[in-house]
Amino acid sequence: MLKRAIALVIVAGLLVTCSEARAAAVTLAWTNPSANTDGSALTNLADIIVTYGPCSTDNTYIDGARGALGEFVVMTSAAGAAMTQVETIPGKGDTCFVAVAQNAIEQLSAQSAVAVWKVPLPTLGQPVQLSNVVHLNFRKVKS
Amino acid sequence: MSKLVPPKDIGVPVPSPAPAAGVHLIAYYGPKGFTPSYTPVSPNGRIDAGDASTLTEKTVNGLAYYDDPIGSELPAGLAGGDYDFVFTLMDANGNEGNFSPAFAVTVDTAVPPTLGQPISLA
Repeated sequence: MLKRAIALVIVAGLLVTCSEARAAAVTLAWTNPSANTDGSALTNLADIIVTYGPCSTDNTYIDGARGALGEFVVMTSAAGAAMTQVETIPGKGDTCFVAVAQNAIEQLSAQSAVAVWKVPLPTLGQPVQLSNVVHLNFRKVKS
Repeated sequence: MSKLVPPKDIGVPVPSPAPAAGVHLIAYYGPKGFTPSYTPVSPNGRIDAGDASTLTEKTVNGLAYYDDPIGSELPAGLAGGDYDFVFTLMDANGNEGNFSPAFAVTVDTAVPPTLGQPISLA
């Protein structure tokens, strides 16, 4: 409860983007927060915690029911710095990433916006049953 | 001794362009209405149907489908009931695409009762 209450003090404005470098290796890019939510300078940034996992069907959140989640931590104290990180992920379907910043006393920011890595494989269409297929043939009819 | 009729083959649309050799067709199944997961937990399951480029293709109404003989791929002892199947493609690196829409299959493992000793009526 204490952590949640204090979390509001840290800037929430992480922006995470990602791009495909090669199969299942994803480059994440973001800008570290530079200020607390009360407007004061962020002077004790400790790390960025990135969580990823299967996207929901509308790619707006991580859906843990569809597969395992992963997490990694990037140690950084450079408030406001532009950051990139290459991570190898399982590459099972579209993968969503969110990040939070943590300061030296373990206070967490709000979550970043969701960044989506699109798997480079097509999504298959509606399956059908192959047996019992009925073919309709139309005879030409004189009008 | 009894005879069970396996589920009929499922046709999975061949994407355009067709994937390169080495890309496998993967089937996931679970009770009807299940939420598919890349790490299925029993009673859900996963079947690697093999290299998609080697699967038989059938054309229905002008559309090409991979012919997945699901009846021969299901594990022995699978309980009867209604199942949903979804499909993905998996490349050589292990990456998998998103799940296809679901297709419902009824696995019927119930057999009619065994008849008793016949006798001569004449």
